[in-house]
Amino acid sequence: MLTVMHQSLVETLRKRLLVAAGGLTFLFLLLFFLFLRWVGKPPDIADYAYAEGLTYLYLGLFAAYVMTALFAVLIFVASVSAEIDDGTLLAVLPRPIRRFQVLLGKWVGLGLVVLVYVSILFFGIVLIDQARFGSITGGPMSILAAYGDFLLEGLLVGTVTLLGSTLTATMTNGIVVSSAVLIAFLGGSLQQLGSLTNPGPAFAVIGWTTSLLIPTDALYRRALFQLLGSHAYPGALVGAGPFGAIHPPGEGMVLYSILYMAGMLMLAVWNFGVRDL
Amino acid sequence: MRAIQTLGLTKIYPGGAPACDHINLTVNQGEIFGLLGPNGAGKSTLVKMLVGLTHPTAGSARVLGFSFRELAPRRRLGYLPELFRYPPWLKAQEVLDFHARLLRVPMSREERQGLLRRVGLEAHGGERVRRFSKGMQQRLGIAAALVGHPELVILDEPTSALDPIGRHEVSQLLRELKQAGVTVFLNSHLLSDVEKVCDSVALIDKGRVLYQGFLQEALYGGVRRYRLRLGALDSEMKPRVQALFPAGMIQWSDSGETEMTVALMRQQLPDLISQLVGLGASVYEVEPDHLSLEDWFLQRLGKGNL
Repeated sequence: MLTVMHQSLVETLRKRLLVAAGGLTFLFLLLFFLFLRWVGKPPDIADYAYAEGLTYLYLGLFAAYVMTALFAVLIFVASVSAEIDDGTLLAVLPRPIRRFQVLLGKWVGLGLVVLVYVSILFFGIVLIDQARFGSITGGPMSILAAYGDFLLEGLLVGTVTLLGSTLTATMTNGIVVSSAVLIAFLGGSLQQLGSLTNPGPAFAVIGWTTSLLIPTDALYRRALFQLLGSHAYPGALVGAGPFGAIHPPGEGMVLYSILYMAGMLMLAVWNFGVRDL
Repeated sequence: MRAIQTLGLTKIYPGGAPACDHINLTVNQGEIFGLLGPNGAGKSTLVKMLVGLTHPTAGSARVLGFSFRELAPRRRLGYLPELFRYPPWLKAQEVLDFHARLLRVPMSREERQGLLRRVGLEAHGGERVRRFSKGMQQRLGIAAALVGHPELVILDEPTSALDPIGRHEVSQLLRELKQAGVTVFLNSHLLSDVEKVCDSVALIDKGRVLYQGFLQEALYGGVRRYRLRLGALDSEMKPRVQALFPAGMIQWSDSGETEMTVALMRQQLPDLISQLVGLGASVYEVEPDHLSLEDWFLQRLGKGNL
């Protein structure tokens, strides 16, 4: 398993995937930094500066949410299906290694890459925003809790993509998982809008349903909530509209996400194990 | 001892006819074994089942004394897939290192270089696979199959991308492996290559074994044609010679000497010659018609005539 994990890490480095993704992420963070500098000094009114800082923080985190999901899809999407198509795995699997070890090796190796990516992106955005607007977020524990949600989102998307890679062709898999993440976001946004505008349960049902299908959006909104800790002024999460988190998911959703990810991983292991190559 | 033994190995893909239908095969240790058959015969499916890439529907197999489902035989087995590609971002020497790590065997620099030399890639160890031609990739695949000093090497179309020099080198390599006691299981469409190196063969078609045995037995056993050149037969001797054979088995060709072609089992030949000599005929030459593996292959599949 360690051999395959090591190989997956070397692959991302050799393919210059990390360099490209890392370079673009630093470019994004630089632009975010410059943007916040050019926005101008916020007025010396406490709530106004806070609202402005929070808005830009949410903007950055929304970008991080999308970029994390895309990165996880792209890095996992070809991990099995492409290696079956081009015959790479045909030379590996007859070696004395179980298929689940190959799959878990890939999951751990690529998961570490996602971890590095999410860490740079998340902490980069939070630190840049903090540097400009002062303390917008809660304490270190709040930041770490939000980071955990983001990381879980990245790993969850990667795991679902890994499962797809054992089931279907590379391109189909990429399209399906990306669409699922987008649908989850739309469902979550409708739920937020519904909470603001419509007292009926329809929007909530849509939000819950999409969150159960793939809980990425729930994790994102929970991260927004966690990040603020006790700092949130009343209405901060409402003010962000569809990007906010009026009814943040609780710990149950985190547990569900972990179980969901474990289930997807087990399904991937099982499907890869019984598949004829 | 048997390197491979399959017992009723069967693979039926969903909605299809059996790709392999109760295959019973035996490959003895230390021999070079050739698996033959037309396209779609089930050869690759059989090989993939043996190395764990495809799951059989029924039946079992033992590889190097172990169940083929265990990992143990895979520690002593090298495999070259038919359609494969190594990660293009790896260097050739890294491919070998990777396989050594998968096998959990140490591999020294000298050993690695020796393997590359064996397949003619000693000058390309530091190059990335993406720059390799198909033939070079195939050579590298053979080297990877030899990592860890395997007792059994299963090669699926090892020379399909090689030029005649490469094919000759691979034939030479297979003979060296045999001399070293390695069992070689060769799946190849190139019958001339098989004919050059194999000790025994199996022919499968539509998932069933049509023949298994020694190659020499396949080519020289059974009824074959022999061309006999006799001294001139006088009119008295001719009917007596003719009486030795059922009607139609002799084709006469009078060109001063008497030339005749007979079809019989190899074991019948000494009797025939002594009978001819007993009748007073002078036997100058007995020449078997050459039967190539390709002729035999086509004949067994009903596509050619003896």
